[in-house]
Amino acid sequence: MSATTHPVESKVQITGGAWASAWKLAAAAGALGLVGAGAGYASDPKRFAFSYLFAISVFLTLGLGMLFFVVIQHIAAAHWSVTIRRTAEFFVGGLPVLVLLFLPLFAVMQHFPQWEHYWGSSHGATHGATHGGSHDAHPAPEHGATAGAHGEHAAPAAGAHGAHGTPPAAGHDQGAGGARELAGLAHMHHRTLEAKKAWFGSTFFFGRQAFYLLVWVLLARRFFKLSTEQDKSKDKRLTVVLARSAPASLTLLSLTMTFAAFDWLMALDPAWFSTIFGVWIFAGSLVAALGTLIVVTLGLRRSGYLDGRVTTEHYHDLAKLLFGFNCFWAYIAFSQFFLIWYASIPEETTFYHTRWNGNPGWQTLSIAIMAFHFVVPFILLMSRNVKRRLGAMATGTVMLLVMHAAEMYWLVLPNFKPADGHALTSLPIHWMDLACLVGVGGAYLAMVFKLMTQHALIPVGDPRLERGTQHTV
Amino acid sequence: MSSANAPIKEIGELPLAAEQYDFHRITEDVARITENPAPRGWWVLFLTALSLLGGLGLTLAYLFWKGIGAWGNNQPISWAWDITNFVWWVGIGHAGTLISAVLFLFRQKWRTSINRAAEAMTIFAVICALMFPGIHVGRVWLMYYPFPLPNSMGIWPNFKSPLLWDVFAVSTYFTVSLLFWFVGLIPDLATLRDRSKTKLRRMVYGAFALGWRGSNRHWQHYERAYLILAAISTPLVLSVHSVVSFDFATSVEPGWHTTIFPPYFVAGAIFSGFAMVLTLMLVVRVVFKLHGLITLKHIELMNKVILTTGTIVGYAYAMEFFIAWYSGNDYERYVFFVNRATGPYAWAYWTMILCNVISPQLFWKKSWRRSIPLTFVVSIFVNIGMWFERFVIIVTSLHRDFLPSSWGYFHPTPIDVMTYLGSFGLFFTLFCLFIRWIPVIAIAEVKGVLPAADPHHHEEHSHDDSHHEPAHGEASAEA
Amino acid sequence: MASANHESTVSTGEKKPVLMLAEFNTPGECLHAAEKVRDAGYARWDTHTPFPVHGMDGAMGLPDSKLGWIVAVMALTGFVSAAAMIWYMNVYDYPLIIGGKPPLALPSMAPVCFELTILFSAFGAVFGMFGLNKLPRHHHPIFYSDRFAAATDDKFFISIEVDDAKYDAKKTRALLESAKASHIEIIEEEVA
Repeated sequence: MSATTHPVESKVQITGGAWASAWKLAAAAGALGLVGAGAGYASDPKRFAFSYLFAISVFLTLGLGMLFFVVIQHIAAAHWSVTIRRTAEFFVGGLPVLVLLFLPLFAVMQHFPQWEHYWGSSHGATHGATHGGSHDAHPAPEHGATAGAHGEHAAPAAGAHGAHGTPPAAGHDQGAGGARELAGLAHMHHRTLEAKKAWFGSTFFFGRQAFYLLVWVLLARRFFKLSTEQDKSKDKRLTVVLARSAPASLTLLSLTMTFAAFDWLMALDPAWFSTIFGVWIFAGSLVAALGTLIVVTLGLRRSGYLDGRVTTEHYHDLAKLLFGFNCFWAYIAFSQFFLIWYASIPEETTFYHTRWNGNPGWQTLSIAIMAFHFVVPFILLMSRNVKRRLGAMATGTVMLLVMHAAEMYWLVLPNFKPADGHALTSLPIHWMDLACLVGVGGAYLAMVFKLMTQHALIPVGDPRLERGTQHTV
Repeated sequence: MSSANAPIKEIGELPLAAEQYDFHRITEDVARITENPAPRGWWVLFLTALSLLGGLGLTLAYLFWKGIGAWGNNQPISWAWDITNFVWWVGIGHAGTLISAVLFLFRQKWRTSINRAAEAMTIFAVICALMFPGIHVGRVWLMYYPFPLPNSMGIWPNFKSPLLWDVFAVSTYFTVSLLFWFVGLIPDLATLRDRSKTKLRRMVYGAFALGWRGSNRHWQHYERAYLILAAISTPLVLSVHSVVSFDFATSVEPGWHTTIFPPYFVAGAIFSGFAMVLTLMLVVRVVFKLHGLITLKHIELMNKVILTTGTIVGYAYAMEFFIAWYSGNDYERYVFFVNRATGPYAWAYWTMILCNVISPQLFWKKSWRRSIPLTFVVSIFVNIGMWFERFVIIVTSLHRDFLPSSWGYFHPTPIDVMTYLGSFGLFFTLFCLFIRWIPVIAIAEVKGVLPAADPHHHEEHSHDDSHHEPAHGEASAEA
Repeated sequence: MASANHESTVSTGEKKPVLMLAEFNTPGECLHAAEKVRDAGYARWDTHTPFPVHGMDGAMGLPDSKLGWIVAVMALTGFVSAAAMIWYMNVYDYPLIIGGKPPLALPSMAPVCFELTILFSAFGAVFGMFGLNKLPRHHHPIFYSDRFAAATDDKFFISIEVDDAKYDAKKTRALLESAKASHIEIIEEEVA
């Protein structure tokens, strides 16, 4: 009854080959991308700001999704996922790199609409009640009639104004697109921004950001370090320690992620708000994490690692979770759209109006997200056969990952208004988007792949390891 | 090989059923409840419930005679206790399917001790829930209006109305829950059939067991059917309470219209459903002496679910408040900061916060999670709190109309109170009949999670876990 | 089995044997016995257990259940019926414009389409399962065995039909005995 019970001997330590040098490749790509991004910053800092935020959003949601996954496995005391958990932990271990890469955002934050108003001129704690710049996205009352660049806020106002939405002065003006209504809307918009001064325009903002980043770094370090420590010490108490700290970690993680999503993504349209937004980002991040787990473990298996440790049974379960969370994502995304569409309150409909009627590019992307983030993967992953046929599953998974990036693009970039004030007629695709994506992703993956070469590919000290290995659906 | 499935004591794993349980003992312990004379506790509960049900009958007769004016509903509060009770009961009805479906999909084996009772509870709770919109229409003989039936008026139901979606969602939920429950019951009804001492029992249980003979060719399709039912019930559970939340959230009413409502309602439903399951199971456990099957471990795990969902609900409350402030919208801010937190219904709001958000936080402490009296008290608190949640949402939003001259305050009448209490009579009468005549614990499923159910179990030389323990360390040492 | 058994030679009066029933004490023994029966090439046989035994489908060599396809067809039917119903009632037969929405407002069709998809799927799963299992079937010769009542309690059984091409009273019994059956009996049924 000793090592003889061991069902399979599989490679769990990277010894050489492509995986051993993968991190160098990623690092090279990352360096190249970041240099490109830096050049982009020099030429057009505002465009850079949006591209960079897009790239950070894609990978930070992925990394935090991995952290969610790990924490949830500890809470559930899950054994089926033990052999997969380490792969997620590598991505968690790489999170500090993303936190580091997050910092440049503070240098360009004055280009984002939510801070243009407060931080546009300088980074002081004070700001002008009026704000300069011909590219101003937020017309003050006196600019009301020239709100051309801002037209998408006014357009849905042709619909009925519920008393819910707007103060009487703006709300009861039914003149479709009339100047008075535009002025009213602009006034309201300004009032709204003033009301949020305490949220965006104060040092509290920076304190909050520091808190998010600190929480992420500390949690990532803790869950990565204790698990890899167990590899060597085989100390079963570490399993208990991690399980104990998981619930509080989950709470902290949920709150920081929600508010970070509010601050950096939802607030890109400063007047828009949605209570479900944090849940939406959470759902998407878990989809990205599960998809990445599938793809990376498949890649490791192809090189002969994890064989017998991560089996078809595990993929079947992972695919079920991916399917489930993708449905959850669709449910959340649909709920938000549906309630806003049904109630048709102008201040809320702007979000979808921009992404549907704004220009044909956004409409196409909206349809693509519906089709390839939900409909096609839904049909594909529903089948038990696909979930157990690894090639087909990998295709579906990669599609979901691409759509995750597309969704982040769809969240961030519609808020980009070119400095010349002209409305865009198609997707504002720019080479800097790719440079930032490769830069941030390369740097992050370099860290992840580096960690892979330094630690066992499965938590060899986990007491539930055997049960996880033998797991069958 | 099987040693991997044995509980590992060092990390706090415990066996699911008490150690002395074997297959036969499970059959005995569960089946005897339906075979022995009912204990006195059952009669007390049953007769109390039956009298409340009688009270409900009289109340409804009076209500139909007088009309809905017999309740305290009046403009601007046209929805009050009736819809509060509807949402509350539907919410309670979510735990059963959740335990059966979601925990099944996540392979939480501990569910097997509680899923049967939870599913039964679901069905009875949905029956109680369906009663309220049914009687709220006032002219109950026109209840067929929402159904898509050809009629002499030549018009059809309005499929853009959230209330119509409710009709489809809740009736689908009821039907699917009933099917799910029945499918789970078939093997256990066969067990009762095979133990029957009297011809009548044999005939009745036999008829419902459909001639089940434990065939593996059947088990194969059966297990697949169960898996599929679990898989489709999960989005169904989400959809039902989401659709209920649409009744409110599609409107432009401040306090009702907010995008987080669908998942927030679902979390609240799970929360209240688990609380009700706990309340009931703690009683059933004592009355029928099922301490070996519903163990402290089950109670602790359920308390963890209570803590989790309670915190999620707290998150939703926080989001509502934060976004109300963040939106900068005067009406949103008014509803939350003035109306709910400090207005005439502040007492209801803070009761809700105390019961739903604060009280479950006690379960962070392990010894409190394992305290039966505390669990019982908190489960009652949560039941109360979740009723208040619906009351707060419905009544506080309505009582301050856009027109200040219409502002009002809701006063329940004795008929309101009796209708609500009567619904408990309906629920508990059905539940008492269930625990008396139907296996209250899923016999076949509990057997399936015993260590002895693992086909490789008996190849090992002992039942003693500690024997296998060192093997773990060694097996995982290399690699 | 109601069908006539021509090969049978063991006949007691008006009764004829239909099944050989072997009893096992543990799921493991039953599983391994099932593997032997499968490898011996039997086709008309079954195992009877109080709960689904993990790995038994493989031990019996059963093909994957086709229930999923029935459910998929039913799901599609449910979805299409719901969409068609809403379209006919609210768009074609009596167009309704409500809440500023056009008669054909796709988002508002989602809830009902979804619910009916689920409802039809559930019907497909439950009644499809009954159909595949040929249930309800209240009469079966296996119930003649007094010991068989334990199949829903704590014993595990293998039944082999006398009609099976491989069936041979002696060899089959020997096979089951070698597989550690704790009790073997022949179940007989009256000739109709």
